Amino acid sequence: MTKFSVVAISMLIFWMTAGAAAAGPAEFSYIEISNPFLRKIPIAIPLFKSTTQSPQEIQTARECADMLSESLEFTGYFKILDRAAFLEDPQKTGIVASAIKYRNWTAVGAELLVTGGIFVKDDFMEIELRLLDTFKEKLIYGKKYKASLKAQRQIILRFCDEVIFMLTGNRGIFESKIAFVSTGTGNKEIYICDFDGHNPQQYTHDKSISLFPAWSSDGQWMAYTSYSRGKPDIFIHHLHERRGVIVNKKGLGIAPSWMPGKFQLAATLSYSGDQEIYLLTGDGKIIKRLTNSRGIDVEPNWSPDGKRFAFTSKRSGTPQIYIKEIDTNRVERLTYEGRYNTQPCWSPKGDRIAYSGMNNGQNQIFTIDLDRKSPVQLTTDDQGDNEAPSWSPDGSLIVFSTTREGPSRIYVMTAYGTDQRRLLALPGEQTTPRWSPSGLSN
Amino acid sequence: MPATMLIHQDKINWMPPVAVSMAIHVVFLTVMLVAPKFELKKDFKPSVIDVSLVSPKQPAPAQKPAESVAAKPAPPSPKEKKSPPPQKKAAEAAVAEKPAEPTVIRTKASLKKKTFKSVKVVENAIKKIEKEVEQNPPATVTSALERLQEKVHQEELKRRHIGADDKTTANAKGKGATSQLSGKQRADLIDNYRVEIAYQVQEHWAFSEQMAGDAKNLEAKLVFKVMPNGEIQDIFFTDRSGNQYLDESAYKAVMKSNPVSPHPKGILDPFIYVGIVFGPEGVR
Repeated sequence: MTKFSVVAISMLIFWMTAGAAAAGPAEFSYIEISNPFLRKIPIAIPLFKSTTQSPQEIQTARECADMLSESLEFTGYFKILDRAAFLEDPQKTGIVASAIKYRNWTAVGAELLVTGGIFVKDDFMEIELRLLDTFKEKLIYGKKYKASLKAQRQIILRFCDEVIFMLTGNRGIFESKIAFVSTGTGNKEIYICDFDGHNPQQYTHDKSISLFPAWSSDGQWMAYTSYSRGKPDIFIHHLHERRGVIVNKKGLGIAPSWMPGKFQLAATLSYSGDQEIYLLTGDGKIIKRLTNSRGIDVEPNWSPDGKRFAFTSKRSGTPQIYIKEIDTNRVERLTYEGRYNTQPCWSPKGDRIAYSGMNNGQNQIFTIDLDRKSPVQLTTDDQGDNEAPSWSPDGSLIVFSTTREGPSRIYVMTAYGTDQRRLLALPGEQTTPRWSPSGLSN
Repeated sequence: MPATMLIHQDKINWMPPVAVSMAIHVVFLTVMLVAPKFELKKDFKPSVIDVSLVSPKQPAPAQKPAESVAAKPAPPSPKEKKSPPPQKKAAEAAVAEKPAEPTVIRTKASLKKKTFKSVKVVENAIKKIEKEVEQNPPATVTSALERLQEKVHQEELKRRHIGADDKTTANAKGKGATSQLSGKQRADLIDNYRVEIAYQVQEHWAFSEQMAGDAKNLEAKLVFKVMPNGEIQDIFFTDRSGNQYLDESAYKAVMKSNPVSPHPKGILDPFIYVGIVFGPEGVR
């Protein structure tokens, strides 16, 4: 009996297998492609439609469309298509989803389309903007804004922010700012400009040396190092109100970094003799010492969750990047390649740290993956010194300083090292840029 | 006790038939698995016969005509009458090795075969001519050469044409042979065509790693039909990446590529499936 069952079962299995093989699903052979022709999203932004066709309105329509193009292009996500190639003029055909012949846009390669209509009367403007998917032939996002003409840029940037949010699920960088040090006045002062380099404003007027600007995570406070009292001290200022403190300690006070979500910051102080990192309140009082080792410990920079911080230490002989976990006091060395790695900056997503490392006698920007600890060089050897990387709040861009033009300038690139371009042109030299958190009101 | 007996009896009764059944099944399945190959071979061989017929003069291009001969019962289709001379019927077997009879007409008829290796044909023809030249006055050599080349050229053209009609032609003459040869050629052609289409799609593929949220090791697989005129139809995912942006970018790439190049000459399929894996390698 058992033999029989075994035979029967094996035959059954045999048949089933054979049957399955014979009647298996149709197989397709595949060809793998891994190299997109374009690593951006092709987007068409035709000139906005002017309602009354008044010269002022036409002018504003052009300015707004151009500003929108530039702002979206700045993100590195988009390829702005040349208007000369467009087959359709929304000025004539209309700007609403139903009026658009999507084939005319897909034919020129556009995957996204932004249409705009504008109405200007005196100092008042009304503008409606739409983001459309040309392949799905549908509206992704649309909004109508009413404001004074002066708010043009604000409106456009807000719409850009919505575009990025709709596409990536993350708030963009359009309401962020960048602080940096410039020598334009003959002194090293801290300046602040918009995310795209527009509207630079001198922030400190210490007529001394001001360095290492640091934004609090709510964007309300700025800490920096100033020599205005004869030695480097930490200054903490409210950005919009006239209040602040100076950390009053002997010795140096340098390179502050705000703890995310808290009114606390880490900074290097040397009052104990050695340069060590301390945790301070926003009022400048010492909470505790965070590092304790021979050799300098400087440049703290917090992980997004505030549980760890990266810093530069010479404890192993050469400056290298380390990570310290606050709860456990565990310290881990992060960089092993190169003999001079400094200026760590933790990415907003928490998975990478950007830093500057010496390579062939020049500083270059690297990012290092925290899992695999494999550094990737983002700037190239023939382009001067590249230093002081700082992530955009969405982690898509990195701002840094470079001497590739001779004097030090502020540049921006994507987090992959592509699209490196100058952020702004100012007299003097610009160094140590720091990107603010997002959502700063203009 | 009787129960055990019964069981025992059962065993004795059932085992042999089961074994026999197994054996039959195994044989049957084996035949099923292997048979197609045989069939193919059979089909192909006949073509070989044709080939040998075609170029009787030449030292039959080192193919393996030997065995094929038997296989192919000359079923000359009515159409072909003119080309295969009547004698063929008589000696099927002989036909295969039949290099003896060098008839001009034949040469013409055997286009298919020549087409096979037209270079060799030319070479052989030239050799032959050279031989003849030794015997005959040299005056005709050049013209003969030209004529031959012309002939070969025409045959080549014809072959192509025949290839295009693939299926229909197959019945007519060395059906098997044509299909074997063209089968391989066809497969190559289609493979090359698929690569070409994939390249065209890649040229339309816009994908920003940043936009995809830095997700690693993503892969989207999709398949679509390409009609003979290059029109793309029925795009469907066989495997989504889980990343909507990548999936959409893949779909859009295919849409933007439409229409792609038309089918290569010689492919008569109503459509060709092209499968593409979109696996962005990352900027760095």
